[in-house]
Amino acid sequence: MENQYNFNGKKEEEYFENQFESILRKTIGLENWRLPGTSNIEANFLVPEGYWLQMEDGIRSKTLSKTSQNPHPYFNFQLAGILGSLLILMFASYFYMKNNIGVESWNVQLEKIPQEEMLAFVDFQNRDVQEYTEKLASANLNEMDLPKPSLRLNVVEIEQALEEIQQDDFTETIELN
Amino acid sequence: MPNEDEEILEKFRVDATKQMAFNLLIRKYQKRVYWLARKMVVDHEDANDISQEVFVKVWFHLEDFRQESGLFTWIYRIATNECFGFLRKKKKRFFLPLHDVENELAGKINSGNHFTGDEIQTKLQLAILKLPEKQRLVFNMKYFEEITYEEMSEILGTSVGALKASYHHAVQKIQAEVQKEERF
Repeated sequence: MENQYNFNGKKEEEYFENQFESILRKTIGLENWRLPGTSNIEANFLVPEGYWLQMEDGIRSKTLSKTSQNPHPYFNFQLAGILGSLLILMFASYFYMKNNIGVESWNVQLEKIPQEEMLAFVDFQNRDVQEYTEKLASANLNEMDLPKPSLRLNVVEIEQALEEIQQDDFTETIELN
Repeated sequence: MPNEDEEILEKFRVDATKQMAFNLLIRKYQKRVYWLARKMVVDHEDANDISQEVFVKVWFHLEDFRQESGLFTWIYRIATNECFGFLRKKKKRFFLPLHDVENELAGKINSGNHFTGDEIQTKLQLAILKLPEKQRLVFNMKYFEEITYEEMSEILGTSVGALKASYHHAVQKIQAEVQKEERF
């Protein structure tokens, strides 16, 4: 079967070899690419006379000032600043809330509610108490939801029980308060 | 030289020789750090601030340096972070898109107060400033300082393959930019 691809009249292997070589040449060409006359470009950036010694001094004074400023090697000024601002913000918002949404404004809001509405609200709150009082006055006590008597023994019952035990036990020395 | 670095580190760990070791370290690496910063930000004052900040960080963190990479690689990593941080801050401070910062840097090159190269060198610098930050850094490291891809990979935390691709893209863009300039 005849090859359907066009290799520019070359054999397949030859074509790919040429392609590979041209890519390689391009890559190496880029790798070693130089613009003539640009090797010592640093000489064209102006640097003041005696700069390197000045730089040394600058670094030394900066390290010294930062060392003396820092009370602890792990003390982080930035973090401390952020925490400080957060605390200030919290206190400011607390005082703002206290003054503006505090007791005074709540009282003012209460005063604004009409008296009938207030009474209706109090009645609504007391409805259970009224209902219970009415029941107590009229209905049979046994039918009501009264709390059941406790199953605990009273003092007399305890004394009786102890007397029964004493008859056939060795607990003669037990004193009752 | 790794042995020299080893000596510096040993002296830095002893209180009596700490300052001396730090001075040696500054003298050894200050120029490389400064030029890395200068090529990224063009302005001398900005490069000076960045370089000083790099060495201040080195002073405070060298004791924690675990020697998993070379000292030079470690310092370079701090320097590249400082450069990126500086450019980011500049962009934020003036609410500028990044290419405007680059236009400003190109303006500094053109003004001649910061750069005195001939025509071809100016063209190259202007083309470099048009590259995205990371490509610019990779290009500067490879083209001017001839740092190997392996070292770059340690400094920038990027794979060697990605760095090679990045450098090739950078070269292609610079070639195109220089040719475009020549046509006008």
